[in-house]
Amino acid sequence: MSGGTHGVLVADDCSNLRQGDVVGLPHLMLPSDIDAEAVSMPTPGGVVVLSQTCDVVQPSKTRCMVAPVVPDTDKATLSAARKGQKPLHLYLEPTASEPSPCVADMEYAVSVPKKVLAGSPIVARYVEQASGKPARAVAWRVGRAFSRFPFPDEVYPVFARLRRQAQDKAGSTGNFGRVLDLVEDLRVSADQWSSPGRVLTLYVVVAEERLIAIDDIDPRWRWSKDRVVGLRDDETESGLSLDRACELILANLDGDESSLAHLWRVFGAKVQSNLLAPALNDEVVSFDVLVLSDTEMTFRQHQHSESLDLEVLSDSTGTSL
Amino acid sequence: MTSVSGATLARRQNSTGVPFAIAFGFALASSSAVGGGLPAFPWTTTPVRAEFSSVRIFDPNAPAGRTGSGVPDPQAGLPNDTSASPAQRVAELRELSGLTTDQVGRLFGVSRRSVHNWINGNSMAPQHEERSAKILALVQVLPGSTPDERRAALLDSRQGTSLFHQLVAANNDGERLQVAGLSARERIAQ
Repeated sequence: MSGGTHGVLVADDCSNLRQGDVVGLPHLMLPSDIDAEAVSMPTPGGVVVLSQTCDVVQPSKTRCMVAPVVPDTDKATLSAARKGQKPLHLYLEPTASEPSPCVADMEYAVSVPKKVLAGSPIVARYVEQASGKPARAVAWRVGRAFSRFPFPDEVYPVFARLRRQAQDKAGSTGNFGRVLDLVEDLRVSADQWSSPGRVLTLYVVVAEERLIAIDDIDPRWRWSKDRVVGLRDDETESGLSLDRACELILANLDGDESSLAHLWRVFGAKVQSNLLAPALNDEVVSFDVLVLSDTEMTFRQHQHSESLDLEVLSDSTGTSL
Repeated sequence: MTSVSGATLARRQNSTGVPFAIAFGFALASSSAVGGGLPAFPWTTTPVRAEFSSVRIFDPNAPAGRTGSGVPDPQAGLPNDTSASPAQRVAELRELSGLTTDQVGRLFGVSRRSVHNWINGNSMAPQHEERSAKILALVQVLPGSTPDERRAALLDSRQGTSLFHQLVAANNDGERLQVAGLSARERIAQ
């Protein structure tokens, strides 16, 4: 045990437990297929606390949600969990005090009486500060498993090109992928989700440090080699390819912020024309792209949109994308 | 967050004029002290003051309405008007700078509604009052004689980060609470 929990046992009231802690509980009682019977599931790696810390430590709460640690996780399992490919596999990132990552299987999440955990050793602690960023990240992963927006199957084909571009090598290590890594969030809104003829908007949200608000653009800015780092003599805004727009964004990250704002606009236009428009169909008849700074996105826009999270999908015909 | 190098600032000083640079340096240093977030700059006002003694100097320690040399400021009434209420200062800042209410709000890390409320007499937190005086002092020495020209000077991004965004960056937004365990790319590349 490490992370300051060596030799520490779970208190009788669980007041020393946190979300993300691994408790050395050797077995977990799970409901079985047969009514009113429970089976004992061996948990050699222990169980991970899923309940929020504030609930776990609350004396009025008598139960705690836990999930078994996936034993003997191989590289592929760890990688898939880290990337969120299996949302029910909760990935706990290594920390300075817990150098090995851990995966909990939330498919087997179950609520147990606190007294079942009391006296068991706390074998690992992945959240050192109850209110820090790692705590938020663990809570986000737990929440993601149960709160993803159910995009209708019919709209998935329209994301296929965007997804392929992000998946291939150019998307992961090339200009496009590197630019996507500068994006804070990709959000989608629709005029309505329930029937064909949908009008969608993709919000590409970028931090203000990388994309200034539209009102902040230098009024004297002009498209020229003097203002855009790496621009060739014959290049015009409209003539840039998606990859070239990405290349110029990367080249201008430390340059003229007004140039960067214009390049982000080109990026949005190219994503729309190259990756989304060709996939339009009767289900999605229009798909606009709006690249905007995080200071420009309104709470209303946020409320009317959903974060784009395309975990293992299939379209309405059952064809995997 | 975009950082600003000493070299960048030096280039900017050359292109915008010394008094402006001094006032700007003061405003940034002060805002950094108030809100944190900006690195310490490797230059001070003292050597510049000696070298350019004939130009108008903004001295944060000078009595109101006077320059660093103690001479009444020929353009006084703007930065040194202690009789101005915080609401008047913010209104003046907005008018002189040519910035929108939203942009003025971002200089303070508040909403445009807060700015509107301030202008209409709602109370300001002490740190905002202090900041309004400093930013107004900066705006008053910007090159240009019209709001449009001063706005252009604030948003001039030829050297990278504009003065406006350097001021915005000096705000302390507080700790970011909304974090995602997966990047946007990871969420669509699965």
